[in-house]
Amino acid sequence: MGLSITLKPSPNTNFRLNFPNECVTAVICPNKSETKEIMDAIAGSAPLKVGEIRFRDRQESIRTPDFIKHVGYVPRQPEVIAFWTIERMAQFLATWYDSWNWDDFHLTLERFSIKAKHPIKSLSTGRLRLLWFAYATAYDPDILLLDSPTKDLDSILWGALRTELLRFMERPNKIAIITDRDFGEVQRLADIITFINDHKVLGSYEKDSLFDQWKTLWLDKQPPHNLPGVISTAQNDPTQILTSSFQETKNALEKLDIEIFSCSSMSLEEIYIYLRDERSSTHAG
Amino acid sequence: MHIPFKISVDHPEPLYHQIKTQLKEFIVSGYLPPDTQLPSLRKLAKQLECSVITIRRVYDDLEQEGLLSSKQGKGTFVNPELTVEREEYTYDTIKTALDNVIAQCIRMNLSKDETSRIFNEVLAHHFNH
Repeated sequence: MGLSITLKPSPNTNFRLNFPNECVTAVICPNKSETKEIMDAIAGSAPLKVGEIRFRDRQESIRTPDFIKHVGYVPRQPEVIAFWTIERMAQFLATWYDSWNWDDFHLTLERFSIKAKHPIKSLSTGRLRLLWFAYATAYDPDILLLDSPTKDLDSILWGALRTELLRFMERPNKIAIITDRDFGEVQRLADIITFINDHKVLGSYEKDSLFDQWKTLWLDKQPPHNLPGVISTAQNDPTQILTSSFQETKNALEKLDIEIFSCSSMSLEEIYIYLRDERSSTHAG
Repeated sequence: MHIPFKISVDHPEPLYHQIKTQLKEFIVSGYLPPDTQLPSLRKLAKQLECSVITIRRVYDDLEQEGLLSSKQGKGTFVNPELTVEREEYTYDTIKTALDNVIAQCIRMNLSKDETSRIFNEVLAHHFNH
């Protein structure tokens, strides 16, 4: 149960994305315009064609006000009416959302040390994103979208935003979707990782299973070529292997009496590149 | 509350096992006494930088095993009715750890006497101070 959405980048292609309830899903895709397109589509503000949407087992239409009220969006570059104050903008937004909670809004501003009476244009780009987070969560949406949340934030401001995101996720039945180029932060925050390339889902994984299974291993001797789970062997060192199915590889190594000297999880970048190249070679073949 | 877990994604054991084993040890050793409230799923996931799905699975499984209990709307607690055979658990845990060490000695072709010498040196280092 959660959000499931089919996007149609062209008449002949479509891809389905699933976002489980009570999870932070990170969409990993190095193409910024593609991730923006996906975020905008879910927020109902993009030209990208949207197919079926199922939200909590109900079919929805994405551009209806009913669905949009479920979605809070913190875009990479919020569009602002520069001469308004922060409070004035909040008053405007509050007229759209019955569930707007002024106490929550002011509390979030206070936690970010942002003053409601200040003009929006006085904020730095980073603080503007914090403000948008306060706006986006003030009406208690079920789905929160964050496009490049770490961008232009120093570690202190990012820490404040991360804390507020986790506070939001403590509320029951919330869904958060994030995209960011800082894979390290994505890795810390996410519960689910979805890899996308060129409007195709390369894979979607529960984060801990991903890092439990995708590992680099150093062995005490060279293994046979057909070892289960192995996706690659280091060119200059045949005893260093990469596996996408650690448990399976480990069991096979034990039977062959080959010892694992050391192992480490593969990085998100390494996994992404492998999945992308594998998809390309499958299609080329 | 902060529970001093030591976990690593680079460890061969899956994160789920590392967290479950350590939480079990904290409970059985009495570090987390009965009726102690545990952190929320999201807070512990944040502390350990792991998935909330893993924490939920650990809490559910330890509840099944009778070590934890959840109270609707209040959170997860160490089972207030918990009675554990602490000595038996300690024996099993230490025996398993020593089995692994001895297995490594055998893999490295150490004799029984060499293994015993190293073992006694380590014992002396820790207990003779």
